[in-house]
Amino acid sequence: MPLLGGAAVALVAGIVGGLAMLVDEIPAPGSFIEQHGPLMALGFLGTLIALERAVALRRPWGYAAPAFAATGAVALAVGAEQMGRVALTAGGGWLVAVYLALLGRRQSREPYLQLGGAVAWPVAGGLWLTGRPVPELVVWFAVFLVLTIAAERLELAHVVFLRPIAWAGLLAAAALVGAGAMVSLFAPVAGARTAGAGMVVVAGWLGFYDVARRTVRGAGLSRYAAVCLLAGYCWLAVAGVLWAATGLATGRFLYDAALHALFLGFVMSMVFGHAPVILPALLRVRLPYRPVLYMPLVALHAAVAVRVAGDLAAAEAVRTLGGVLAALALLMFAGCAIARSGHDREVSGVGPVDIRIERGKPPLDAPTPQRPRASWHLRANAIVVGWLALTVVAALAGDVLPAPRWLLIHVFLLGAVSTAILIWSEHFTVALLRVRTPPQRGSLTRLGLLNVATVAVLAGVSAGPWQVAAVGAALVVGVVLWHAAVLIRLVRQALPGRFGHVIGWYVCAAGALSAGGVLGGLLAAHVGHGAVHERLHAAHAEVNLFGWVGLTVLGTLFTLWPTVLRTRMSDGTRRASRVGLRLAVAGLAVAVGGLLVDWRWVALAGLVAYAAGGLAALAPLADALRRRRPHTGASWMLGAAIVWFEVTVAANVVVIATRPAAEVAAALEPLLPLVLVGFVGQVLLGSLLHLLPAVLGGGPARFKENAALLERGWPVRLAALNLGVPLLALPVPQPVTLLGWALVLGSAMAFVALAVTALSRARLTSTGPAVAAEEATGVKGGRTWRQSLPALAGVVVGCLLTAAAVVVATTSVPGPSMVAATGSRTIEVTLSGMSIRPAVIEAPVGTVLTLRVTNADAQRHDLRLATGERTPMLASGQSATLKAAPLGEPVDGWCTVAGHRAAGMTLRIVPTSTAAASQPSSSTGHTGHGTATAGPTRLDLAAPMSPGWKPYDATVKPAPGSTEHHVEIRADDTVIQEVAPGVRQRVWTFNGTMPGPVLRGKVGDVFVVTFVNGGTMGHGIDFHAGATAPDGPMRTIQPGERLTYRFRADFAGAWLYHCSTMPMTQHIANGMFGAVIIDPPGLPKVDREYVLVQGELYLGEPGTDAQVAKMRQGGPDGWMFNGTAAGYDHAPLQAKAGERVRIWAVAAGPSSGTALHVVGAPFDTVYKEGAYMLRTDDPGGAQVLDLAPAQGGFAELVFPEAGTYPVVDHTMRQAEAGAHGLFKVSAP
Amino acid sequence: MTWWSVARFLHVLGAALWVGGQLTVSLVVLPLARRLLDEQRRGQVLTAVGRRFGLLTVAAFLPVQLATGVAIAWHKGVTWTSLAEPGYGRILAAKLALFCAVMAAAGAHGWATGAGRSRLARAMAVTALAGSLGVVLLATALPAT
Repeated sequence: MPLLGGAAVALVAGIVGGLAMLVDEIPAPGSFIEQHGPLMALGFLGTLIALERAVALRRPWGYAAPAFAATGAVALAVGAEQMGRVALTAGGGWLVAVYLALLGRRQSREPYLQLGGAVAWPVAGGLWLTGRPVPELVVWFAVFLVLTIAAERLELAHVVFLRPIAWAGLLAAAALVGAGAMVSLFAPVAGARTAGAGMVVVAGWLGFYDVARRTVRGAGLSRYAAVCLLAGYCWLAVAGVLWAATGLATGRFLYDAALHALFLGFVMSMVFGHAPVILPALLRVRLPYRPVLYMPLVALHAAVAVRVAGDLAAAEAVRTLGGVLAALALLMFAGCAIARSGHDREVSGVGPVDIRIERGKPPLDAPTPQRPRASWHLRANAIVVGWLALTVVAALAGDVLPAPRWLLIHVFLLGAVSTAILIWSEHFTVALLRVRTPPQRGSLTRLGLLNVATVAVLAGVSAGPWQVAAVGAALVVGVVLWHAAVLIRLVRQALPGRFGHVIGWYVCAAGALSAGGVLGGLLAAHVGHGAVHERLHAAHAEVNLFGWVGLTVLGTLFTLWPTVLRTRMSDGTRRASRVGLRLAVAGLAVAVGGLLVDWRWVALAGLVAYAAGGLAALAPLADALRRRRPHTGASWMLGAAIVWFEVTVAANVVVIATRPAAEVAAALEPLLPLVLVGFVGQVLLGSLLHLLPAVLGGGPARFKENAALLERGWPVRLAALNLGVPLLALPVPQPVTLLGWALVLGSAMAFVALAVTALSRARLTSTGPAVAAEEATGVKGGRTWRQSLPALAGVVVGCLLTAAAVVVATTSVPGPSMVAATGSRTIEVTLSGMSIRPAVIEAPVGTVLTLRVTNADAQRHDLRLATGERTPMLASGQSATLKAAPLGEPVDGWCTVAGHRAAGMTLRIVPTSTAAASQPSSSTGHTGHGTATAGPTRLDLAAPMSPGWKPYDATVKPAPGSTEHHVEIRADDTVIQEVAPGVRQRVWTFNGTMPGPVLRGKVGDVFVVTFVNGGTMGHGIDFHAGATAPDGPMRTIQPGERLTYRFRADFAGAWLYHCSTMPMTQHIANGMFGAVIIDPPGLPKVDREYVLVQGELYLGEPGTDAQVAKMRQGGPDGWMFNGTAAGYDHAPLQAKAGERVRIWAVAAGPSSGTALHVVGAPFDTVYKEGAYMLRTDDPGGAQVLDLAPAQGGFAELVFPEAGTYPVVDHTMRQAEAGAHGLFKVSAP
Repeated sequence: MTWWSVARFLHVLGAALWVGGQLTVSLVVLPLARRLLDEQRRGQVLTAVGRRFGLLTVAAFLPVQLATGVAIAWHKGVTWTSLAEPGYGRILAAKLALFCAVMAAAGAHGWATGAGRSRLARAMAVTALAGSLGVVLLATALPAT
């Protein structure tokens, strides 16, 4: 019990620390925050696992493992870090011993795996003790938990009977994770990637073999546990993908997402699932299952999803919400556990064995004969319906989304349409060729992969990083090629038949998507700018729409159209098909090639051939039409779709004939509604309308019922849709376009609602006769879906009412318009080369800004402000004006083209202080002129420092004994630091402090610096102390990247290091500098050593025009010793009379040097730039250590008596503006 | 501590009792009644609970809320025109509209129970509950000036 107390302490401390990291206002001891990771992973989970093992061992000595772990956790929480590390490591070691003992007792396979996991714990502890930072240990934590949990699953749930091959698969996966950890010792990124890949495999393995997949259909506890497990596996897979994609090296957001998907999503879900089984074993307390346990589970997964989403979108607020929600979920679960177990304590005595048997029991419905094909089609179509619903949501959300137009198109085409094509083309192939269904597992895998890829593409393009999108595109291409291969194999297997020709269309369509996917991937990766980009775009659109969608639809219509019309196929179908396919495919290939290489007439010829092919293919359809007029909703919809297809093709031919290739994509834009809604959407709706009843099955009566349900009111829906389409496409006024959207979306939603009703009906009847019987007799015992319907409807209605009220309450609440307009300015804004110039606009509060936006790039851009104003999409060379509301708060602006915001096309409008607003300026012209300087013009150095301010520690530690120094330096440009008394502002830092950390060594020492860019812009690093070609190590790296900078300090001296990214004035002046101290050989020991790095202070937000102007003019607002002007006036440096004090000094500049002087105490030793100017035993003395910008050295002195000695830069202007500090010398 | 704080106190107390009462009935009384009572007894108990709650609503809750609400609004200087203005007025107007909708739903619940349309009654009850939470949400969103 006290051991669990330790775990609880770790849990609470970890949670509080985690929350404090997210929410600044939450007070928490530093140890909670710093040790958040170890507290949760080792302190809490480690103790739990060790305790569980100790109980299983049933030997007193086994309890030492959890005891050590709990002690360590408590020590860590109270701040005794070293003791905590030692105790936790000891706990891990002891756990290994426990496993060895268990292994000796029972020869089976699981303990080996657990042992492998357990070994990772002490290894992590050992590395931790040697001073490795926690982020490098994360991989080891992951190995420990993942392997332990995987093995636990084997042991607890008897993961069916394993064939050796399956067992080998798990071992291989586990080995991969372990290998990742090993590799991480030398190459952290590669290690994390490897481990991530391993995790994906482990997740797949567990998801496949775990009995949970079957018990999830059970009820009660077994169902709950299975839900926990399966959800956990999903998160494991997600985490694995994130690890593999990021290597844990990209920015703090992705790092956070990767970690919490694993430790919260996977591990905590596992804890939730196993708690009802493990708690009884640990405490002899029963935790009976109650449905209320789902509450924390849902909260947990929602929390992780929100958090990961927030991380991926780099939205701080969303991430914080996720974190708070997760803490809430954990508390809820703890609450449930305590409430339930306290309640039922008397009834204990039920050991874990009972439950284990229940869980291990094969589920009752296990031997069901293979599920009919209809059922998986049914479920697969649910995905399509889901994507359709998402499309509607995306259309309604509109401008709220990051890349509205792009997302709408791709949610629909890549999500709904591609999924549907994948399902149905395979289904038709099987049906037409009369072959055996290919293995269902393969089909499901393809479907799953396609959807994963779609999500990756959507996320990658709209939120970044583009690599995710590129991987998604590659995955799409892979899936579709696999799909094509399966179709080809089916054709080979089949006997020659009447319908074989259709498959050719499907295969060619798949080929088209693979080409289109590659083009899309190139677009996402921003390969090629300007006109090249536009041509790629045009080719991408053409090949996907006319190839993937068009060819599939045409092919399908050969058989679908006669079926829908209930007539027979025309005789000439086969010939028409063959001719049509050849013409269309060849034409499309030529057209795409022509577009890519900018041969307009070739492209046109190709497209004409494609149109001819389409007409040839449509000939037999028209023939069928002559025989039988359309009479059902499905046939009318398909017919209308074909008409829209022809219209689109014709319009497309015209566009290509009249525009150069680079403008095709832009000119095609108005056609999109025709294609998307009129053709693709309508084909989809029409086919689903026709096919769903057949798929739902359930006998002729049910078929008729479903068909009637789906066709309800079809003429109205058809008319609405086809009226809406031209309204969307034509240049009509805004309200009419809105009407068009209403018609189209209303029609689509009506179908989705009907389809969902039909699907849920089918589901209801398939849940078994028991339910039906129960319903028939009206017994109200069980909770059927139907019974909760009124409540559900009530919730929906209530929420809708509330939402409507909230909308009414909050719309057009005047944020900015509260600000009175005080003046106006017009500013030229240029869009080009993935940037917006100027990137920052400063104006006094209340200014009405008019932005004249010009697109100087060769590709299309637009500009949208966060306050809602936006320009239309601007083609190359076009301009538009944008009038913003009177300026109140900072406003962000960006280009809404997919991916451009992430690529850096952002703008920020910053209000300057209200004082400046009193002089309304109405100048026209570029920024940089005439914006008044914000902030105080004179620093008040005597003002008190803010409470909680800590001075930069000026004491220098002696050089460590080793000759090789490993350092990680992380650039961060978001830190707020107190740069002068009472003045806090953003600075750019190495390792979070200005100046950066002091590195010290001896001549000949090797420094291996891992430089990580954790900032928001490019940074680099330049060590003056090393001799290396600057090209590699000093290069600028982008946010999230890292590099290793290795140098040997061949020369003694006090050296500067600084950010090497241009413009260096800004990077250095904003704080990216630090000192490297290389002791001269034979440097004598002194009583005290201090370092003073002098820098210049420029007030204001870094990078703003006003601040940069001051740098250019060389007019700093102040000077600082170690990052705070006059900081050591408020926190004097200490010394004793008679002690020898050595002051190292580096002048960081960027523009001014120093004349370091201590008032009242001459220097007896001066060392500057690698040589002694004055030695201790020389008769002379020195008054100043003078350093030009970037020079360094030291001076030594002995304070004669107790007192207060100012240390100043004797350039008095600089001393009086902050280069000033005090030595407080006490009596010896 | 003035009479205005008493009015505010009564207004908040009334809201707490009404929303809290609904929550208690839905989350505590109903599930237990379903589990512990047989069909007939349950019907009796729930009908009685509903009657009493309805009586409380009409006899105490509505008068108190309306009186205190109007008084507070008058004290705040709310006028008919200011209800349309964005900010305090707009939020208050939305809250009033939602409150009317909730009352309508609650009334519909009472009618449907009497008419034996249990499914509609349940839907309306839940609507009223969700809507009244929305009213509380909007109330908290009113700028405290």
